[in-house]
Amino acid sequence: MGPQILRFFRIGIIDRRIFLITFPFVTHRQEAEKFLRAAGKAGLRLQQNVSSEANEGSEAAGVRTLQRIKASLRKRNLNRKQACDEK
Amino acid sequence: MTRNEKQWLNATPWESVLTLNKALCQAQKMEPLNDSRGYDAARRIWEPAVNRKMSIREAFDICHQVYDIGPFTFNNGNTFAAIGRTIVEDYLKAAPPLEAQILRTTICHYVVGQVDRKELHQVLRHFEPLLESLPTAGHAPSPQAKIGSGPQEQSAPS
Repeated sequence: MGPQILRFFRIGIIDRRIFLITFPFVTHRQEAEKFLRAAGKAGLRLQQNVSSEANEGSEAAGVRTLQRIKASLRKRNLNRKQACDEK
Repeated sequence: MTRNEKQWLNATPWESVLTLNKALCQAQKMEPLNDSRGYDAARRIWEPAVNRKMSIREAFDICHQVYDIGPFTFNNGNTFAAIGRTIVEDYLKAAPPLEAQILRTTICHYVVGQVDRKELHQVLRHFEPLLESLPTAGHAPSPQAKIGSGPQEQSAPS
């Protein structure tokens, strides 16, 4: 079942004409569904990490995270350096 | 973000926790089973927390506590770590990727007991100025979503 979209209705009368104005908004259910989808993706990613670590041995767990952080730092420093050089 | 008291678990009623665990078990072709002893205890902690205003640290504590009880046979860690991580995800979208990754990893590790409370608090304190300056990217419950206590039908105002 897709997300249920509920709306507020207001009836306005302008110059003897009746207008139906709707205000769509994010419902609590939509919020919960969005959260669930995001959590599902995060959970699957965690599962993949665990299974790949199991294949590579337990030591690989922190090592890969550190490598990723190190690579990211290196990239950032490089970008900063380039920005300074350009100035 | 770290000082704000909010209904952090508002978008995750117990039914969503079950659905998430079921999905994760099915992804591994496992039967989503509940642990008869832990299930009720975990539910008793989780359900009142859903609508309660609390700090983000308290929300992580609840994820950790419920993980510790182990309401499910499989994927307790992945289920509650994913919830803990997703709670702050919208805040982290605007954060630098490296800091965001450190926070995500720390939160997940805290929920499953690989990082203690002191370490989590240190990391959160370190990133506090950054987190306070970030805009929320949508997940933070909208004013309409805060109204009412659960996923109930809303009627048009009279």
